[in-house]
Amino acid sequence: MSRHAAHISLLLAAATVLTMAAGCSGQQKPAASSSAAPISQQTASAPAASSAAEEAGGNPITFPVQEDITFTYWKNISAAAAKRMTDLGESDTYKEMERITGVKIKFIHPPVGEGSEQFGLMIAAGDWPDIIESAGTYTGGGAKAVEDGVYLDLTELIPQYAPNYSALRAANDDVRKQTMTDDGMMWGMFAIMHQENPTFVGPIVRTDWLEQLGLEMPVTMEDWHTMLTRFKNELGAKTPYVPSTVGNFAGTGYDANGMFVTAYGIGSDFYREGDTVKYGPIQPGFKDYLTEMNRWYSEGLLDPEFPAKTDLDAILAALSSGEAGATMMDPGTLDPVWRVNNIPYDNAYYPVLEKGQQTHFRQTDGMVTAGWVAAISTKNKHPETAVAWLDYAYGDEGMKIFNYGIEGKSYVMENGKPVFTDTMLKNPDVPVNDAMWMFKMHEAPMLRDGAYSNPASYGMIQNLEIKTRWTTMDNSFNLPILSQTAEEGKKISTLMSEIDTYRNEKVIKFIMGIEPLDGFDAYVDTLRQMGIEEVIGIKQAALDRYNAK
Amino acid sequence: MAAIRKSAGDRVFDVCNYCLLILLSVIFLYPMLHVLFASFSDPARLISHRGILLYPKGFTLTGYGIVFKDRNTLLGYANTLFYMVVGTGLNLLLTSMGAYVLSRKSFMLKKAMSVMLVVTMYFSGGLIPNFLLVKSLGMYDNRLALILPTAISAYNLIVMRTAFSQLPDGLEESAKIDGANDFTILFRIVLPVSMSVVAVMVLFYAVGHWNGWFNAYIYLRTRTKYPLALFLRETLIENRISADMEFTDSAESFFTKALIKYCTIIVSTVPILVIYPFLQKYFAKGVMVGSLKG
Amino acid sequence: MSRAVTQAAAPRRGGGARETGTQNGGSFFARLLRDMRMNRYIYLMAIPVLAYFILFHYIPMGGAVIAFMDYVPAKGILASKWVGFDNFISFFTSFQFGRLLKNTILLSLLQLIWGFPLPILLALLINEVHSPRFKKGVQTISYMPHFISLVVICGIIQDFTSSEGVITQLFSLFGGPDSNLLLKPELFRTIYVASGVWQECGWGSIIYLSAMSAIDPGLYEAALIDGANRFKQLVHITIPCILPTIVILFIMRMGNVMSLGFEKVILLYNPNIYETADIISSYVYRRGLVEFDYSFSSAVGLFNSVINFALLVTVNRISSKVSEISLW
Repeated sequence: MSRHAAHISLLLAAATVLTMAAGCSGQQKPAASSSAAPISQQTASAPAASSAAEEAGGNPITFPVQEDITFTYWKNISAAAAKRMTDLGESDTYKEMERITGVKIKFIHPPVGEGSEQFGLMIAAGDWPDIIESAGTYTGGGAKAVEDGVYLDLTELIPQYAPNYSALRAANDDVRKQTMTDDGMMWGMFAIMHQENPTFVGPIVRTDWLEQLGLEMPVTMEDWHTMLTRFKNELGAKTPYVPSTVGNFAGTGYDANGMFVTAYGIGSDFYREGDTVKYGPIQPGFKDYLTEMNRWYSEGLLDPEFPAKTDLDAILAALSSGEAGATMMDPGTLDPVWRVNNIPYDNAYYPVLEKGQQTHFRQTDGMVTAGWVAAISTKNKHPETAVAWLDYAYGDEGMKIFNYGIEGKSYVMENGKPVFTDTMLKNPDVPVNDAMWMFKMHEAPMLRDGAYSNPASYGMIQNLEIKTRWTTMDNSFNLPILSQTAEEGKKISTLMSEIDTYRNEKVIKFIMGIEPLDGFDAYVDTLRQMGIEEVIGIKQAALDRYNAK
Repeated sequence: MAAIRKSAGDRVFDVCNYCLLILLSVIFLYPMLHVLFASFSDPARLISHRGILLYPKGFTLTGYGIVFKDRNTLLGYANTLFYMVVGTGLNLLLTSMGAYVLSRKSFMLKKAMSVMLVVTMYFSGGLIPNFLLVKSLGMYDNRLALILPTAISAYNLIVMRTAFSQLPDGLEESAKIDGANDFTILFRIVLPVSMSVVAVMVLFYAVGHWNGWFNAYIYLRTRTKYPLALFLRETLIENRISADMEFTDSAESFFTKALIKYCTIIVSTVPILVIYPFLQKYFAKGVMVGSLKG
Repeated sequence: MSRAVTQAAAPRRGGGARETGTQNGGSFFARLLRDMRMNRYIYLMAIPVLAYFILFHYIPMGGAVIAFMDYVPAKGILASKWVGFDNFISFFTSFQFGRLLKNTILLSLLQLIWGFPLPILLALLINEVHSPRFKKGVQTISYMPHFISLVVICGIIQDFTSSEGVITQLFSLFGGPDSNLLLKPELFRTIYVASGVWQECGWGSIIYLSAMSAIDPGLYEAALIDGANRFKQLVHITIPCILPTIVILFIMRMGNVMSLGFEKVILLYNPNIYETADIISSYVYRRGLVEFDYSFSSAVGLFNSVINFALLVTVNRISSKVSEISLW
């Protein structure tokens, strides 16, 4: 156990230094980049925030409450949790919350699924639960829900009854901006981190193959080309590069999270350059990117069947059988195929065109998690208590209950840091995936410790190191969470559903050489006709409002 | 049928027919075998396997162990059995009544009612209005929501009506003369001679209840009321990991997930597969003739 | 839709009058009352059936008006804004509308052409088997694929049609391409339809087998005495006897031309074959992923229903003229 503790604290220190380095080397002002967090609050159990909250006067609502209060709570349940519990009220975290606060929670879980139908039906039903999680799912956004009379406007309540949350917002300007609308209204409480969650998807290469060929970790696009060619020719790799599931990022063809496209000085989808919003797939650099990918494709460096490979199992099969030696994915996903087979691997960084250049876009899991947000419905009879109850998860004690569980059971404190016990990590009856819902609560509106409190990646220190290193790459091109009006949102979704279809289709045909790249200008023209400029305009206005907050 | 000596052509036809059907059976059987073999396979080897699966890759019962230890499995079985038995009973009662009514040539509203039925097959209010109706009837999160809204399938009713209207007219006329009312005619005369269509209805409705997950997905909230099919669907969806989520699996549980998917399919499919051979005996010829003579 | 409802509620000039006989005379209600007295048990039986259809189908059907609204679930249907045909226009003017319509209809018709007769053929073949055990075995096996979830079936299809897949290898022996078949736009419809037949053929044959088992064996005995061989028996007895079932099922199938589900398509397609694979429902699905829009999907659904129903009415009319078999 102490071995883990040592590793973790080392890592945290490393993260601190690296983040600082990134903040300094980035071209943007630190405040504009979501990676630049206040360094003093890096660690999991930083006492700064909570003591600040106490100094701010504490909470007018004190727990346990004297009244008999029961809240209904709409919350998604993961498949793993659903196998173990009838509802999340049976989890250690919420049992402990009830013990401490005296507030009873009656959970309402929609069936595990992918659609937003469930949410829409719950809203249509009228008798809304007291607390609604995944509140951003509301068609038109949270602000629209307040306008429609479904959510309460929390702008007044949060400063009064959520001192922990307010302190976290006050501590970072990006957090402050991303947790309210452009008018300064707050309609929900978001999961917040002290610092950016480490980038969890990035380039990874088999190091035994590199050694065998006497190659260094590739840095430039040309290095990648050389490496993949030699993997193919000398090691018999049929499809040397295979990234994680393709279906989700058809927009750039074979390029999860813009790993290759960023080398051409652009971002993969919508991105910002300074204060200007741009759309990657219509930039001149995108044509250069497509030209290069087409070359790789015709040389057999990419999987010839990539558009049809939407199944993770098929991708992992290629990696485990030695058909591929480089990938772009969450290192955790490689565990079943590489780590268990003792195949050594390490991270690369997003490639650049010339040595010494740097990329400005990467997969980012920011300090504010847009998906994990709780709103209070207008049917709630005790909104003050509800806000205070939610706020508990942002304080020092509460965040440990959510991120780590019960002290002495699922974690112990070592050197001032929480460390998971074997009950969590090596439980013969409860696999880690289930344990993270039974003994702690991995997803909730809370002060999040992210990857550091993910028991699944906890046992594999190397993966966490890899993620931490990726996070040092500059991400000044990444857009923050922008708020849009309901009309803007509807316009964007209508236009983009067609633009995406057309773009995905064309990009794949360009890469596969089915259509010659001479057609690129016509493709850009068509995207313009389809209204891409209008979408860029809306996003630009939203970014301007964001900057002005 | 009387065994009369077969012509050479008949024999050639029989041989070809048997060969063709055996070939087709192999093709039809494959998906089930694939799932069956996969459910016993060593998941690590299964994931790296591609192509036809002709035997399990390795052998393990881990998947079945997990599936049967999962309390949702037994709960789902019990719930599904309830929905299937009660639901199919109601389905049969109402459908046969509707089919009987529509097969009466003398019934004046026959055509109006037929059109009314057919319209419902093609026009619906959609998700929200149906949901709001079920809710306002107080059936939200109630087991009845899986039984009443699907009490009759217009499609099945028409199939049954078609069968009923092919019965000879003499069958009921003699009963009418004996003073039997329509209920007696339906349940004592028409249904017993239409066992083959009744068997098909039982099969269609029962399988519909067994496989149905969507209404449960929409109308139920309490997990202890879920049918097996909804649990199965959750398992299948869980396996479709998307790239924009942080990976929270350990290697071991990643492997078992793939295995559980196949085991769950087997566990949730095999019981309903055995229903058909039982119903099939009602497909035997001659039922109707016997009853006419008697 | 309202037309259909009125038609159902007041069939004055319809077949009702013709069937009760013109000699009865009197007003519609007088005749109805007389019919009710004569057939009171029939009406008694019809009540629960009618009540079911009115309650669970006709009442919610009114909700289809959200196709003409900007429906906001929190406000309810009454308080939402009317937008006229905006949702329809948004659908008709979508960039790929022509392609979506063409793909949907083509795929559906192909599925009908293959998927409709093959179960009948299978049923006829099975019906010719003498050994009861063999018959039972073939039948049970033939409908098994129906029970395997689409997710798994599509996984098997992807596997078999990949460059090293069984089907690809088999066809490349006969000069077909030896690369991934699901990347070929010209093959998508074939793969979709063939796999559909594979999965549903056996299940579809059940209903015909049941119809065949209801045929009076006396007919065959008589034919045997007349010296009819098996092929003649098939043509002159079996097929005519199951013809009403065939025609009725065909009419109902025709009314489903526009309703192709999205699930199988989205599990199989990829952007490279959108040109043949993208259909109306997969488009609506992708659009719904971005933002769930009940009014839009309701408008698309209504459009599909109207076309379906028009097709159904046409085919039914032709059928009742030609074969006197009619849905109503």
